[in-house]
Amino acid sequence: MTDQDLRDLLHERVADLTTTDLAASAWRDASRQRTRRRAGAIAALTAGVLVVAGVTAVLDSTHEQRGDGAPATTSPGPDRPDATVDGAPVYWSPDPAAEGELDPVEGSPLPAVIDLAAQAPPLSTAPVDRATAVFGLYGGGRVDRLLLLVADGYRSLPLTEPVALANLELAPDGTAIHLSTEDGVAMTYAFAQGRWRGDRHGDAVHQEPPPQVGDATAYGPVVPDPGGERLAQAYDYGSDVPPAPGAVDRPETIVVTPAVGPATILAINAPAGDLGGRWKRCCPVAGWLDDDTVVYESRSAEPRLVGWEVGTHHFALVSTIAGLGDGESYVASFARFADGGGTAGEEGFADAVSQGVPVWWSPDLGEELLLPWLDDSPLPREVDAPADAPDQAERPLDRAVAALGVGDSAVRLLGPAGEQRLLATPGLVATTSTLSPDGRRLVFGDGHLLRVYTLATDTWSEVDAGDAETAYVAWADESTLWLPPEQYRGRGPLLDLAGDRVGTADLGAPANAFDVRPAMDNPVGPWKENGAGLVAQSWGMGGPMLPVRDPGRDIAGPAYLAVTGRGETRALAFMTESDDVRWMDAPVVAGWLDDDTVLYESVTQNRDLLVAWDVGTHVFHRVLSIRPGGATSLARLVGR
Amino acid sequence: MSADEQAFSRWAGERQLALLRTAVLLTGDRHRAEDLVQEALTQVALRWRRLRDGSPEAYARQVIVRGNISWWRKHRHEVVLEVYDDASSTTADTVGAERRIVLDRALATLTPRQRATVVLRYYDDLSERETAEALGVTVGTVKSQAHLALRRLREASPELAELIGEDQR
Repeated sequence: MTDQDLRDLLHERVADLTTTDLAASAWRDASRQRTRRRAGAIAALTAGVLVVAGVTAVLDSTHEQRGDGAPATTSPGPDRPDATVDGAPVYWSPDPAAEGELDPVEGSPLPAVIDLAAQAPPLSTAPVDRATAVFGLYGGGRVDRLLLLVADGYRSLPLTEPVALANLELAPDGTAIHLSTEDGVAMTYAFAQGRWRGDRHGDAVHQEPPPQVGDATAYGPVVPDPGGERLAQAYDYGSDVPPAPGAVDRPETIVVTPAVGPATILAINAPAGDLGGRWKRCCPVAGWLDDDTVVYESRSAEPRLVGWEVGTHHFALVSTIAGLGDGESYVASFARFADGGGTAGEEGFADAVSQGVPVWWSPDLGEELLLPWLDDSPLPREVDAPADAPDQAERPLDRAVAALGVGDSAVRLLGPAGEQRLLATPGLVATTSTLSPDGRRLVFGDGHLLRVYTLATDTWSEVDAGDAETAYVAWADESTLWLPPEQYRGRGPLLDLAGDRVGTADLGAPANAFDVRPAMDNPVGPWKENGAGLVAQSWGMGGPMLPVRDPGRDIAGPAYLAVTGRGETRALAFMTESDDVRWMDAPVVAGWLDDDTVLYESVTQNRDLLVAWDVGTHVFHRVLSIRPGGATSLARLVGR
Repeated sequence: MSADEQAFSRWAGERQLALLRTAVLLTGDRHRAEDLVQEALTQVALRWRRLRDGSPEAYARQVIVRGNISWWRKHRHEVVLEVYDDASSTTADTVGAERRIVLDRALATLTPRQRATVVLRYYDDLSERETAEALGVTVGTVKSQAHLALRRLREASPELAELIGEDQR
């Protein structure tokens, strides 16, 4: 029999299925969802629509041959573009005067009025952990202060001296500000740490030249929509896009690009002559309100934030920006407004870049103890490993979520409902791979034997490993053991629980993301996959010599954790002060808490701490503190 | 009915049965399969303008596969796999309903990801790369999951092992 037999069986299994028509109800549900999401959010452009509709017929006669072939005499519907260019639909924005007549968005995460002259206590006296927006306010040609829009109002973040700003960006998650100046200084302010840090030891993160289309140059951020399916980017004057009648030629644009297919273009309507008061580079993308609505800045003497439902003539007023004095100006950057429901575009800034890989800095040992605890954790917060607990042999747990080594005498089992048990394991040493992925068995190497313990039945069995090395035994899956010749690397036999060899494999570390000398290519601990395409692996000190936060204090060339997958790598460098007592092996990867959060075990002589890192952000949490420390192995919470 | 709705209805009408079949094989549960297909079609409808010229079926399949794995993660503590003590009583010449039971029983021993790998590779005839994209994992993971899944199918169900035979080893 062949693969075809399995195919035949599967086809036979569902051959007689029938279904009722689900299409109509799906369309209805989608319409309801759209309505709910958009309830009142984007009202149809009133005056603006009329202006655009009025001129569209004129423009159609000019551009109909470039359009989609629709009859020129047909009145434009709400989704019909005003023009096309190279197959891409072009819509015209309201001009500055019409913007003032737009209906307001309801339910916006931004206030209807953002007051740049508002009272704003210094961040140092009223700290917050993130901001919604940051505004750089110009005085005398330089930015002399930063104003933060936060959940409960405003904060100010003074600068020691006015700076000639090259770039100002708020991290997408709102937890850090990146600022660079024209004279090459690059600084990051992380709200969690409450201080500025220089990027002088790493390459700046955002230094690629902006893309160009014709004579138009991209400016402002590239912002993915909440689903990560489209990107929005502003371009300055010079695009070969048909302007609205009476508007300036070669207008500024906002280009929304899907992964596949043509872009959708918004031509920024600015009357020829005085541009209606618009500033040059008036309209950087601020974010997305939802999957369909991009928000752009409309910078002028009367600045605003405007929402555009992409591919329609629907615009709405998101915020009016007030408090700007005569001749004053500002730049702004915004955190993500919408909940993406995924990781795309939700990440914060890296602290540095090394070999093209963005690198974040971990909290050091002292900072770890100040991290907030993770809510809704599947693990208890604190465990005294050798403390009394019911005997596993007397009241066996069926399954554990973690197994904590207590020297070479016992293992402490943490159950899924918070139960704890002690299991005597005289002479057997637990490792980070002792507990099976399903949490139902333990395995220990013991000479040429593997000793396997089944929790539910409180039974031990022996597996003869022959001449294979057993010291580094690890689980390949719930019922298969891998015996690598050295710690987590090399080709070794795969045994089932009956001791039968079912193959050989090298299930060791993924390739190092950094180019390092072979002697420094030293993975530490097992790798863990999250089931959503990401693999995490810790690596020892000295490899790629990653930049550190404070070279005068932190150990150079720190150990690091690399997360690879979905076509990119992100690294977490473990900050360790020179007199710290962090265990010399890297904090090892313990597992994944969810698709985006990896757990690592930070070890000292006296305690272990499981720390959760929301990958690609400055968000860390304490998860489990263990005293005194010992090897911890976790069952699979997600992935492998 | 708008042109978009007409086009969506035409596409959904043609593909919903195939999607339901995939979902039933993934879940082993007709009602949950229908829920997954309904959700997938709704998600496609929400994005119809962006998907219509691309691959709405691939997107729908991705929603079904990942939705099933998410469901399992949330409910795994409640899931009790059926255990059959007399698997050997099913004879090699069993056909029809009994053959179906053998397959259901064997598929139920797989993890959701292994099961999805088998269904996408051997029922939907997706390539390893397409399967990886649907699951959101690497091609290497698809290979290893397929290997482990087929081995587990053999171990869990000797009758199925006879059917899929030595070539799978």
